[in-house]
Formats: sequence, C-alpha cells, structure tokens
Amino acid sequence: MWRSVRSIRSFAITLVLGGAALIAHADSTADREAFRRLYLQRFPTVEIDQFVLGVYAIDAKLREQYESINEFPPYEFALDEGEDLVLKRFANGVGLRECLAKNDNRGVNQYPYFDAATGEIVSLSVAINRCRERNGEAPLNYRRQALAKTLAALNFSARGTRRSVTVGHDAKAQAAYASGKAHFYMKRGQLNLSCADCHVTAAGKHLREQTLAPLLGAVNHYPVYGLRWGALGTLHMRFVGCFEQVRAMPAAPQSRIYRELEYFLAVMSNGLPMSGPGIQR
Amino acid sequence: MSNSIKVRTSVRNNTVTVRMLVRHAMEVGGVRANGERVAAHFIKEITCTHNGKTVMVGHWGAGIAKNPYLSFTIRDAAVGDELRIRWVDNQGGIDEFATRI
Amino acid sequence: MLAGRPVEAFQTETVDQTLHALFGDVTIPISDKIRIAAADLAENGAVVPIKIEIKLDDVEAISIIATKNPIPLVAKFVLGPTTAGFVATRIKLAASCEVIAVVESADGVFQARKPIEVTIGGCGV
Repeated sequence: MWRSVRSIRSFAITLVLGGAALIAHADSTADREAFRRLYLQRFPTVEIDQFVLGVYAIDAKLREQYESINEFPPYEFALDEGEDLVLKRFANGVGLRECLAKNDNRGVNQYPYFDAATGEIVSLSVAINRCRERNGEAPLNYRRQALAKTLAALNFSARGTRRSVTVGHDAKAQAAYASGKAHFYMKRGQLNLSCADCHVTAAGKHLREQTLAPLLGAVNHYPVYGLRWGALGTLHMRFVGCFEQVRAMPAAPQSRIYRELEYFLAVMSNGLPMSGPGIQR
Repeated sequence: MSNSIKVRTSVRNNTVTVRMLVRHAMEVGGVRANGERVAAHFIKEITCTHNGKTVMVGHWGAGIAKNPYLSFTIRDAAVGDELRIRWVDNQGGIDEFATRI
Repeated sequence: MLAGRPVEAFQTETVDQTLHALFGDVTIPISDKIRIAAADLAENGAVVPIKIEIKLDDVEAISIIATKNPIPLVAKFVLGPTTAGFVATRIKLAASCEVIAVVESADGVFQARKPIEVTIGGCGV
C-alpha cells in the first residue's frame, strides 16, 4: 500500500535496517553452524550432544575417570542444599520459582537473555538476585556457595531440556551478541591470548599438563563441582580465573563483559542438552 | 539436611553392592600459603553393619579424598535387610545413618 | 571381632616404616590375583578413583598405601566374613607414585603395586 514519499523513505529505511537485522540475525546462526562444524571436524568421533562434557567428550582416559566419579557425584550434598534454597520462601512468602516465572516464564535453558527494557543481558544469577531484591531479600554474593548451590539446583531441574538462547531482531541484542563474540576472540593479558586461542584453535591440545577443553556446549554443564576445590564453581568465576591465567585484569562476576561472553557461548551452545551441575577436575 | 551419609544399594542374586558418599572435609591440616593454620579434620573410622553384624570397618587417614566415596559388596544379603553406617572423626565428630537395602 | 585402628601405621612417614608397622618384618609377595584399577594418569591428585579387585579367598583386610604421600597409609579396610574381596574409594595423591594394595587373606598376605602419575594442573583455577 503506497503512502507519502516520507513513508516510502521510512519504509525503505525500515527495510534496510530490517534487512541488516536479518543479516545480523543470520550471523549468529551462521556463527553457531560454523562453531559446530569446526569442533565436529576436529573431533569427528564425538557425537554432538557429548560436547556438553567439555574435555571429557574428547579424551577417553579423562572420560573414564569422570564416569567413575559421576557414579556417585560429589556435588550431591551441595545440590540438596541448593534445592532447599530454591524452595525456601522469602520473608514475604514469595518463592524463587514463582518470581522467576515473571520473566516471561523462561525456563533455565532460556537464560541468559537480552532484556529489551534495560538493554542488558540477564543471566540466571542476575535474575535470582533481582527476585531477591524485589522481594526484600539481600542479594547473594556471586562468588559464594549459596548462589552456586541455587544455580546447581535450578540447572539440575533443567536436565532433559536443551539450551534455547537465540539472538532476536532487536538491534541492541545483536550488539550485545557481537560484543560477546568480540570478547571471545580478543587477545588479552600479558600472555596475549584469547578464549579462542586456547579453546578453539588449540582445543584438545595440552597446555601445562592439561588438555584444553572445547567450548561447544561447555556452558551447559555449569555450575561445576571442581575436584580441585571440593566445591561448586560458577561460569563467571571460571571467567575470572581464565583472565587471571592469561594475566589480564579480571572483571567482577556478572559484570557486563562476562554476561556478554556467557550470551555468546550460550548462543553457540543452543540446541545442546542442559547438563548441570557438572564435574570438573 | 544435616545427614552426611548417602547410601545406594544394588542387589544381584544374593549379593548387594553398597555405594556411599559421605560429606566430610577430610582436611589434611597444616599451614596454608597465606600463613593460616588449619587443623587436621578427617574421618578416622567408618563402620558398616548388615543386620547388626559388622561387615566393613574403614580405618582412614586424611589421604582419603574430600567428600569420601566408598563401595563394597556383601554376600548373603537381601532386599529389606538393614544397613547401618557410622563414622567418627579425629575431632570427635560423629554421624550415623540407617537404611534398608 | 574386627581389628582396631593401626595407630602407629598412620604416623609412619616412609613406606618401609608403614609396612613394618602393619605387618612386621615380613616379605610380602606380589600376587596377580590383586588388581588395582585406577587411571595411569590421574587428572587431579585431590580425587583419584581407585578400585581393588581381589581373587584370593577369604579376604580379611585391604590396606592402601601411597608411596609419596606424607603419611603413606591412606586406609585399611577390615572386612567381615560375608564381605567380598573388593573395595572402591577415592584417594588423594600428593605426587606421582606407586600405589600399593596389601591384602590379608586366609592364604596369607600379598601385595600389588601400580604406578599412578599425577598432573599438577597449571591452568585450573
């Protein structure tokens, strides 16, 4: 339906922007296909769903040890406590799940998501603390066990679902995705290494007596019980550790850069099984 | 849950495999890198009985891993039999758990 | 009546002293009826899964010794008459070493040894 010239121009602009958004949207889908292809070609005997186990998907001897420990996972006590924490109502009587349901009834597998209202990536940890604060409770410390246990319980209940995080048409969501992607490929720290250098280019190779983990699906098994800690660790704590390992100044857990990285990795892991909490050395 | 013992059993013919996970720091003790002194805190003895008879005693040192795992197999056991697990640590801590196969 | 805690053996700091505290001055023959199932290269020395599978008759006790641990004796399991010759647990290894399983059975005392390498893990945080 033709209208005034102005309308045609704005229509054309909308088409171009819409087209650009479509192209940008196709980028993240294309990125994921490329990400998958890369790992599937590098590790041709590994079935794609197995990649959620990280290094245990690609190394048979490490996998054996993992399976041995997974026979009776050491995280079970922490998981029980996490379930108690999830069920414990706030002082005002509201429960965590009912509060989280207000985020468009998103399942755990649909986190993190881009919140158009605030222009921010909302991770499950941030959503938990928003719920707590909205209901008069103090937020949980992102580095401590109470939050990690809560994440463990919520992720455990999401087993059987698959990661469902895609980048929408919103230009700001596109920008957040692009930013997360850029951070993933950006070299940093005194060692001048990017996430991709170790976990894409060198995935499967040895560094400091360890096998470098592939990252396809890796976010899906967090939080992890680290045998080296005897406790749970969250994804953002792992980001902090990684930054320290390349001698870069780490950001704080749940800072924007880490939420964007998480978003990028979740988009790359879209469609793969939710498998937290996990076990790691 | 204050209970520190989780037990799973699987029965095949007259044989029962018992698997358990115990929540305990199993701390070796000593001085940490930051100078902090940590006391040794570990399970010294874990005893398992089957229908009141002792079937396994584990004498442990701090060399058993944190959140210890233990598995063993008992013959002449059946569904419904009682299993009791009890541990004592070097600081006088104890816990006990009873279950039926 | 199952034996009490081998107190002295949990204080000795060398393998020889530990074996002496447990068994006195005896030579313990190697037996191929004792199998130590564990990874050749443990991913993390803090938690090393290990299984001891024994084909000897009437196993009475299983001792696990890690030769490079500050206290080599990790555990001594004393078994009742209806308990099979098998134990699985998770141990700490301070360094790459030999793990020794010493089994006391109706047929005598025997041992098996398995070297296990431990990586220190420089990248983990």
